[in-house]
Amino acid sequence: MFAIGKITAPIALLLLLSGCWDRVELNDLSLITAIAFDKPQQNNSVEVTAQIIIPKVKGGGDGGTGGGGGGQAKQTVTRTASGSDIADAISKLQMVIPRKIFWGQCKVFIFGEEIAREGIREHMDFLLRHPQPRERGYVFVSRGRGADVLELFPPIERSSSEVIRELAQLGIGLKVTLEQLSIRLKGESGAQALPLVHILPKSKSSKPFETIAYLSGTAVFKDGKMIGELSSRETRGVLWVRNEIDEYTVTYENDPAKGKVSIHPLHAKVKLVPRIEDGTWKMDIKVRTAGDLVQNGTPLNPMDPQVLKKMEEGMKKDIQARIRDALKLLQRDLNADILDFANAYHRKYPKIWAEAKDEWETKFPEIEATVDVEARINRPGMVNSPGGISQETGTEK
Amino acid sequence: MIQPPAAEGQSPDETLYPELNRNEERFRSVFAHCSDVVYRSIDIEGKGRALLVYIEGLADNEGLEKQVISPLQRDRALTVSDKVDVLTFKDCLAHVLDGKPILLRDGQTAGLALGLTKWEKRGIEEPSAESSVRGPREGFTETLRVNTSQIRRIVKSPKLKIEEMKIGRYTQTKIAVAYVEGLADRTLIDEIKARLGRIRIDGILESGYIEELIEDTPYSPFPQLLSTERPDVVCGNLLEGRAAILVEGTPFALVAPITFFSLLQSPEDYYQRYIISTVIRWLRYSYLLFSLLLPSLYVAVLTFHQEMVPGSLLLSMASSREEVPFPALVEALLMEITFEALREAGVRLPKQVGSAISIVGALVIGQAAVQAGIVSAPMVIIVALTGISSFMTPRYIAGISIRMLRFPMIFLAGSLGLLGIMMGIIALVLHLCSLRSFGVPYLSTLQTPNFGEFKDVLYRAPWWSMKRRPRLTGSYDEYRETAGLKPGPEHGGESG
Repeated sequence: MFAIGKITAPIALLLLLSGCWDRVELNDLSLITAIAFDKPQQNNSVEVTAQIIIPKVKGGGDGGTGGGGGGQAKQTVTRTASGSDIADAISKLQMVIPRKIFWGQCKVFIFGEEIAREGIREHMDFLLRHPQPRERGYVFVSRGRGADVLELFPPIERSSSEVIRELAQLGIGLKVTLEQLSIRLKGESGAQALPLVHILPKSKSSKPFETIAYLSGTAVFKDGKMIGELSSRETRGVLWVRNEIDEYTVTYENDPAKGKVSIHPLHAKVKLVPRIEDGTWKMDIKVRTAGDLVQNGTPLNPMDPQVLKKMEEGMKKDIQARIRDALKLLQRDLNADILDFANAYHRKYPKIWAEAKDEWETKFPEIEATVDVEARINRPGMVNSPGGISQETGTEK
Repeated sequence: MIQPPAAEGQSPDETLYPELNRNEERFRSVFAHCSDVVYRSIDIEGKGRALLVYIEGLADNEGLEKQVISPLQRDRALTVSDKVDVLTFKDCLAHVLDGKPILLRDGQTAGLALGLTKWEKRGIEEPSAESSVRGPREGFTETLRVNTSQIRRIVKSPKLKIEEMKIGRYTQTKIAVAYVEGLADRTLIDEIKARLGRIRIDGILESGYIEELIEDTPYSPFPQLLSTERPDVVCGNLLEGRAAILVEGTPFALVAPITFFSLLQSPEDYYQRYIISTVIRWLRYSYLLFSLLLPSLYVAVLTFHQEMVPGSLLLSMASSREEVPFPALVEALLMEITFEALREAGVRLPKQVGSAISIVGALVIGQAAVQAGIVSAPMVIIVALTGISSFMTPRYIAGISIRMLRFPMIFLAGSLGLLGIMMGIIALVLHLCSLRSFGVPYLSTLQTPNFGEFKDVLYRAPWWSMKRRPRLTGSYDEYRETAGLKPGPEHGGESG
């Protein structure tokens, strides 16, 4: 017995005497779900707004009705503090929050438009250097103040930050994590893209602030400064090229006269193939996609292979047009390589790239991009002939 | 072999006197103040006197009357089949204490030990600590003879050897070492007998005494011998080349050598379909980890690694912990100790009170504590899950060892977080690796990179595929079945 005591007693004492220095009880933490950075009215350079979860004892079960409130009660609270940089602002934020600020569950970072135009690089440094913020949290830019987004009380999700996080995860718009953003900030192209957050106008019956923020469009950054934005349609084009397209529906005029066709693609694969021919830089964007016919507004019968081919042709053209529009805007108007062509060239032509990378600014707008789309419609859906049209007229071309 | 307690002042080796009176005097002086010893003198017609010495309650009174006393009185031959001549006084004493009546006659220096013993004993019942759905329902009893007969009834081979010895200065408890010759390593049997022979103790009341006196590592929470009250488990182990130690007076037999995985195998694994057994085994393994780690993981995550919990889960934990006044570590200890107390109380309390305790316990732990805001609901779930999972270990003892180990784990988790848990696990694995059961490494199945050995650990292979016996110590008869036992079309079954 003595032998055990000789070993275990010192270990036990060590454990107890060390005092658990970084031990924090859950009750002493304020869980931050989202944080927004804005330009303050005063001279201070950054204003930090944190959305904090209010942990409430659930009334459920035998707790009686004393819990009251129910789903209508506010589940989050926001607190704002400003300082000369984020670290300073956070330390001031702690002065107005009774519990220790805990970033571990913060999955949404929002930059206000104003501060984004001024540059996010120095703020990013804090987020990446500090051990607590999640690198897999999503970064957004908000139209207007970021704090306003956090002030909302969504009718469906627990918090407004949860809403935009879920929206980002749906893959409808761009989704950029902190980690991806930091890679892009250091990347060759020198351009970054972040999803834009708008506040949905509240429905008439809702209480004040009872609405959500949603994602639409893209904020385009160059060297950490916001220089422009893309519309929702152009964002789709960018998503195609970035191979991030996931959940979407392509609707196009199949035959201008006859009506619209909607395709819900199942998968899409995009390859960037850079070429340098006789000193001219070219880029082949190869898209392979396939989808299901979900709505057929034309009187055509998709069971006919001939017709289907035509429809596929239409789909191909539509996708091509979307990509070209986005490319045009990015190359000519914004001159921002958010598609990361730079990386593709770097990989394929490392030596040429080493010489040319300083001139990327002038090279990028001149790249001749060809868009090659291979579109297929796999399933025409549950009905053969268009709905509401008789079999005979349906078969006619 | 037989060593009776030394009678004071007399040399026990002396032979019996020819005079019956002196012998009787001698018995009476040795058994002074032993009110249960009966001296019955019988007058043999015209041939003097005989004396029966026996212990009341151990002798078959009716048998004595019919087969000894009445023939003697009429001077006929005894009709007792089991009778042994005893020459020394010492042997006489041993037989009497063993329950055999001794018959002494005037003028004879040899007594007769009569095999007319009979005492009240419990019948064979279903083992209460190791019940099973499928499989024999016989359990060992407190009587060694009954137990050995149960084994002999299963293994009907002269190769089954049962060697006996007596241990205990005062209790003279019979210990039997059973093994199958040719399967069990000879050195193992010698080692067991040597270790048993070393024991000098006042008494052996249960096989637990033996276990603690012969195990390899006394400082270990893990049992290094398997204790079981099922004859089928003992026989299964005998057939795998292990040895069993049976002890008079307890239904629990010991099996050696074992590995850690022996403790996690239930006899039913071998009786039901192998696919089901495999799944259940894995369930058991995972719940073993649960019972060891769940509370400590909860504490570690809640006090050090809040970022590791999925957001929404953390939120519901946070809201349930909102009113709890204690740190997670204290909460966990509080609940776990309460659970252990309830368990212990449930075992010790009379059956009539037991149900009351469980109701009160469930109410106190489950509802009232949560409602009063003293503990959080997730903690109750964790403790309940841990409690259930620790009872999934087929060997109650092994379950308890693991369950007790979770307390140091909780402390480690509460002071060092996951790092502490990791340290605890490393220490535990090191300890398990260093353990031995009669020379067989405790984790030997994992240490030898032999796929065949995994057949009974990682999964339960079908019987037609478990061709070899497990490798324990030295050389042995390798195959336990012939090749080609797998059912198939050539044997009349379906292919596939």
